[in-house]
Amino acid sequence: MKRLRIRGVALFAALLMMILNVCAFAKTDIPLPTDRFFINDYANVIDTETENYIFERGKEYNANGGPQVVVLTMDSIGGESVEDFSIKTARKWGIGDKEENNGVLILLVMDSRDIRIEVGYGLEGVLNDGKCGRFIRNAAGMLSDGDYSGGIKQIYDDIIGELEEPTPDEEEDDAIIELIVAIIVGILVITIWITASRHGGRGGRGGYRRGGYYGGYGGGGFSSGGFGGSSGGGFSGGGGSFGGGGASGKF
Amino acid sequence: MKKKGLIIGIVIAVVVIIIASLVGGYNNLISLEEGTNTAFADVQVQLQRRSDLIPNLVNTVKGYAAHETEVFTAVSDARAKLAGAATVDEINAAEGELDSALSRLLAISESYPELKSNENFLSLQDELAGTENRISVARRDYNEKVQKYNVKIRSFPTNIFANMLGFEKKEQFAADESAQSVPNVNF
Repeated sequence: MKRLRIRGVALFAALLMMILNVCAFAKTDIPLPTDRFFINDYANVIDTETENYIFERGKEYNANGGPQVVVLTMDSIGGESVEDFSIKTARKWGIGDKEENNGVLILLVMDSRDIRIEVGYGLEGVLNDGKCGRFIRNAAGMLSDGDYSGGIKQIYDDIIGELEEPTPDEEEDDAIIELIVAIIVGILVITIWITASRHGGRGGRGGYRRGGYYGGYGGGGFSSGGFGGSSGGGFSGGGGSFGGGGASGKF
Repeated sequence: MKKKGLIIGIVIAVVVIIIASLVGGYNNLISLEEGTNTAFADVQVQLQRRSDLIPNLVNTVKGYAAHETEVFTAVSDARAKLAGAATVDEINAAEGELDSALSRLLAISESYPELKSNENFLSLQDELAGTENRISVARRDYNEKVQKYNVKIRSFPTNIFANMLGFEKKEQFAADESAQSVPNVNF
């Protein structure tokens, strides 16, 4: 009886291990971020200088509560599509701030020759897919020549530059709308003011607006918002979410 | 007398526990269902976004290849059909048609080098690829939520009242490989 039970337990354990094994095998493992978080050169293709550059800049932004731009290179992702792999990684690492969702993942896959920029929800407006595609095209030449450090640095700088000073392309439409809104508001204020003064009463101050019209894009200045783990030696994501924005390409 | 009080007390306690668990289960179901609704809305937002992109893309291609009218018609027909689709099944059906029409539209650029290198066309293509990817992400998120919800309404003891209160099993999006693949842009 006792022996039977032991055998049963052993059988159960074996089955459990088999199931766990199968599960582990079916999925491409998402790697853990390194303790330098912003630069994860698992394919070992980026030179030390570029790595340090990206790490130092990342640290700088992190300290100011700015966006988190993270670089990951992989030898292989086991045949999975680069889009699937990158969003899984970006979500798992929680790149970017939880409130602002301002994370970016630059993923380079060596064997399938894929490059992808994954953009967090909060930055989709500033870093739209068209711009990301352009950054990839800008760097594709260097990447296909084997200059991975140069290519990645190019993409990194393009992204940072865009985040610091968004180039206005489709935002021009918004500017016109803003202008129209400003004019309408202005006319409204003047009308109310005239009406109020005509009625003689000095109590009619409804048209007074403090501070004027606000219409900033919020892309330029990085507002503060703390990240987890910034005080210790290691860095980590702040729990930003991603919805699949960005662009991919081959090199 | 003492015994009776004890029994009544136990009965009351059991009833309270049952009601509490029912309420808890019900609230849980509601939040799961709301989760699926939100996720479905996300899918529709992305579908709409793609739908809005298509006219721009068509117009850009038209500027270089005005006589390829057949493809333009196919794209706009498929787009209209998808716009009218409300359920998961309808979306699944209309999806395939639009995908093939769009890939034909993009293939036109192969024969027009000027179009192929047009910055506006390239950027629209990126937007389209990005949106396709967002759609597939939104779908996967929806499917995950629906799966959780479906498991919940079919498992004991929630299944007892889930049916009575009109919680129905929800459809998932087809995990069709071709629907999930993103048009590839080569450099």
